[in-house]
Amino acid sequence: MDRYIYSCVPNTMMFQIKHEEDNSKKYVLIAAFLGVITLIEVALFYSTSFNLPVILIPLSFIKFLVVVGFFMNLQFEKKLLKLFFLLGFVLSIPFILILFLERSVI
Amino acid sequence: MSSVDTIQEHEATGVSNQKMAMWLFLSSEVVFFAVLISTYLFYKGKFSQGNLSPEELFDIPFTSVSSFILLMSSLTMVLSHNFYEIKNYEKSRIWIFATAFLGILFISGQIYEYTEFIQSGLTISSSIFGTAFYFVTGFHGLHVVIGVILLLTTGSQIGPNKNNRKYGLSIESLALYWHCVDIVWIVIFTVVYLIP
Amino acid sequence: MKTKSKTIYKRPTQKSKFVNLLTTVDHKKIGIMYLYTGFTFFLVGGLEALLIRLHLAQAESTLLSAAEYNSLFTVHGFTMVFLFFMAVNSGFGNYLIPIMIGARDVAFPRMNALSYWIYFFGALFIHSTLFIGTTAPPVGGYLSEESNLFSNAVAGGWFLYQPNAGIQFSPGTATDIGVIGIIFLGVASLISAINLTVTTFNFRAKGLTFMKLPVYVWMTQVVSFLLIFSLPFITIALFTVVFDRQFGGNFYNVAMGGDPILWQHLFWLFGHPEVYILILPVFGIMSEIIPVFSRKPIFGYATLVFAGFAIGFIGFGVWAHHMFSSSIQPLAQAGFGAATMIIAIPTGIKIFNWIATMWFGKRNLNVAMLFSIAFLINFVIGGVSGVLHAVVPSVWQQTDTYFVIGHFHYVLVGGGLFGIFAGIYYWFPHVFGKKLNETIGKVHFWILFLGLHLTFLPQHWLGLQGMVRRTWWYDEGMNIEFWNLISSIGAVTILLGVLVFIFNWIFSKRKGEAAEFDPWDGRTLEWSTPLPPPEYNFYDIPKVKTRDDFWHRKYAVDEENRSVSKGKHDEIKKYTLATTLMDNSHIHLPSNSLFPFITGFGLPFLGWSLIFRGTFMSFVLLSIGILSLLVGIFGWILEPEHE
Repeated sequence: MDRYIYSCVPNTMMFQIKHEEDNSKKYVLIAAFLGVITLIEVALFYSTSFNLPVILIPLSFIKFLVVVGFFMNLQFEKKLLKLFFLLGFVLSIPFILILFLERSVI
Repeated sequence: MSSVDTIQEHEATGVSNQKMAMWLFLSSEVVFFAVLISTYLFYKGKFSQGNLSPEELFDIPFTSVSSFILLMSSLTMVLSHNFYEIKNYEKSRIWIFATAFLGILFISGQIYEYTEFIQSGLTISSSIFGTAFYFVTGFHGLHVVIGVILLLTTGSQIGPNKNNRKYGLSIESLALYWHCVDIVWIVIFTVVYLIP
Repeated sequence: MKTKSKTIYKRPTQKSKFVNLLTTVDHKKIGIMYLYTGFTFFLVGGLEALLIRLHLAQAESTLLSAAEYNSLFTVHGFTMVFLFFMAVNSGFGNYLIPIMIGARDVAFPRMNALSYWIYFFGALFIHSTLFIGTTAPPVGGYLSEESNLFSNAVAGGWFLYQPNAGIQFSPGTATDIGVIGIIFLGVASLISAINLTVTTFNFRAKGLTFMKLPVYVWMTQVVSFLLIFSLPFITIALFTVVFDRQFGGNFYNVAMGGDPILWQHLFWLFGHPEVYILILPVFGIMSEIIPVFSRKPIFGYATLVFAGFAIGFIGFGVWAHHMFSSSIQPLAQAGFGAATMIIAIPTGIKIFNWIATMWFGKRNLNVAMLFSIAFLINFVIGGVSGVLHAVVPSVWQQTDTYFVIGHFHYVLVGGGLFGIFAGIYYWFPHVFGKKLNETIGKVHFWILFLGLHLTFLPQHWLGLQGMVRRTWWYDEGMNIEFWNLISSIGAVTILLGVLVFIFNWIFSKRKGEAAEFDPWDGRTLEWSTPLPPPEYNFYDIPKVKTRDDFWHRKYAVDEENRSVSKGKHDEIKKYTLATTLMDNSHIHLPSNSLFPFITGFGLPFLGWSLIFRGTFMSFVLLSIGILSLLVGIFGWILEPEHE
């Protein structure tokens, strides 16, 4: 999964957080990236010509991954922790989907 | 709860006990919030049935600003941890209090939003939308409040002349918790507010 | 080890037994506390069951009123599932896990104590439903006003199906007490699950890799994962009920758009993993006992472990088989039916592995082994009736009849309880340094075995004949009196069996045969300590080379793959017993703490303050609760690490 992320985002290695070093600038840059995405989301919301869920969900997902990967440093953590988190996530998605599909429509 | 409260510094996996415990707890929380959001989605089709629909009530610009505030609080949190790692306790403390401050701002925004909605007539009992909305956002807000209390407590334990978290949660664990609260809001904001 | 800390107060030392009880963080003591408390609730729940059976022994019985009956079967369910079974599993797990992996204690000893105290106070809180709960005749209901112990407790079944258990049809405070109590217990279980997971991952002795762990440790680990991922469902489900009942929420209010099936989904998404949470530790116990008394290693270790994981994982995909007669789509019904059939496979694999372990082994039919063999028989019977529930049209007839009751009592009592008794007979020498009496134990076993079958076997055909569950009354002409009477005689027999057990316990604690070291010629690490173990468990932390490492210290394997004694038994025994006399001042253990107790103490007050809202009393209760929580948590944080 790490390699997949690296191939998709070529500059990821640049953002590797090294302990014992002041990484503040990197964090601010990442936060700016997140802010830009938020702005895009809100702008999209106000323009009605797009199919919103199709775009908003991937954008939110990217934000989610960025915070988890970089701020929570999961990208560079031991596999074990990634596994724990992934398990919770993997179990959650089907449930959200199933409950959504079984939803009340009366 | 101190990471040193164990009698063996055993870390057979190489991951500290507290960090592992926090990740396990957070994976449970991820399922918790996923289920919360599912219950909201379960009833989503019926929200326009009541006299007050989401489209009428939501003030997207306002909520976007408070969402952005929470997002930036993740930045302040990670900065606090960053300075802690390089042993700059003074700055670490400032940033942790900044995080708490942004968290309080977010909660204030929520409270303002809630009062506006209640005045317009949306309560827990007024409609299924009311119940579901307050349920999801209320639990999230509760987690933020607990987070703020943790931030303030831990923040008061760091500093140049203090014990620097001999007790209680490590900055790393606290940061993980706070980021989780933030990413959950990312999802809630999208699902509840942005998606029609 | 000196700590530079602001010692505002010192940590408590073990001055008196009572103080020690309230402040202990030793996993062994906490485990034993869970066992004693859990067993007490077993007796309470058993009494409730006995009353139910006495009432049902005759047609048109008026032994109990309808309100009492409704409360009894509900409280019986809550008590047995949450207050007995889960507590006893926690008891075994807390006691055994650290010792089995060569550790001195769990990762977070004070959190461990907190789990116990939340359980303890949560259990008391739930039982307050008997004493201060109120019910009222529901809208359009049939109940008359009455007030005795059981008639005002939480009623309507432990599933709390909505909207039946909602404010309109179950008015009063009794149900709320049950709902909030379970939320508390869920927190306790979550803390415990995280604690044991970190312990199992991080505290293993040197050389103890994952595939060398005892199967019991693996099963408990699967249970911990199941808890971590299934507790959120029940927590949220219960909070939706609190919202509806306390704050006028509309989750299950059909008139406002609510849908009762949401409750069923949420409840069973927890409820089904819950039954595996109950039984997997017992599978682990079996996997420990059967090899020892067959003098063979467990057959198919890897498949046992992976089957456990398979059961846990698939267990999240079968929940709707409890909802086949609710309004779910036919496609969903088919899917869940298929998944339910599939989950029988890993369970079957385990059964075959246990039988294969016994095959060609040198079996020792002592009481623990008798219970284990009975477990296999009973669980298979229960499993067969269970897999019948994978056939959807069959379920449409069986659901909510006594057939289901027969099924789950076979697996939970015939399987679970028998497995627990096996574990008690097996590890009693470890905890107390004495064996339970074998003769009395055999009497206990046979009476219980007879009682189990007398009680629950007839319930299968009662169910097929159409006898409905949770129903207070059955007419004379329905032709089901005879088997109900047999079933009730069986219940009294079970009571006799339990009484014999209690007698055995008391007798053996005083005059039991002494067992100071390795009475069963055990395989796993817990038997390498003196009995009962010193507080620090191991004088030297063991270095592990193989699976069943302790066995391999005693036995080598010859060319024909047979175990040959290395002749070192006496040497090992002498050395181990001698370590109790050696200087252990270099071993540091976590100090006692009162704060878990104080934190747990506050919870019931918070619960009561929510329920009795709007009164001055509520404000007082809230203050006590919050004060207790704050003192507990902040005291905990500020406590010095250990002295």
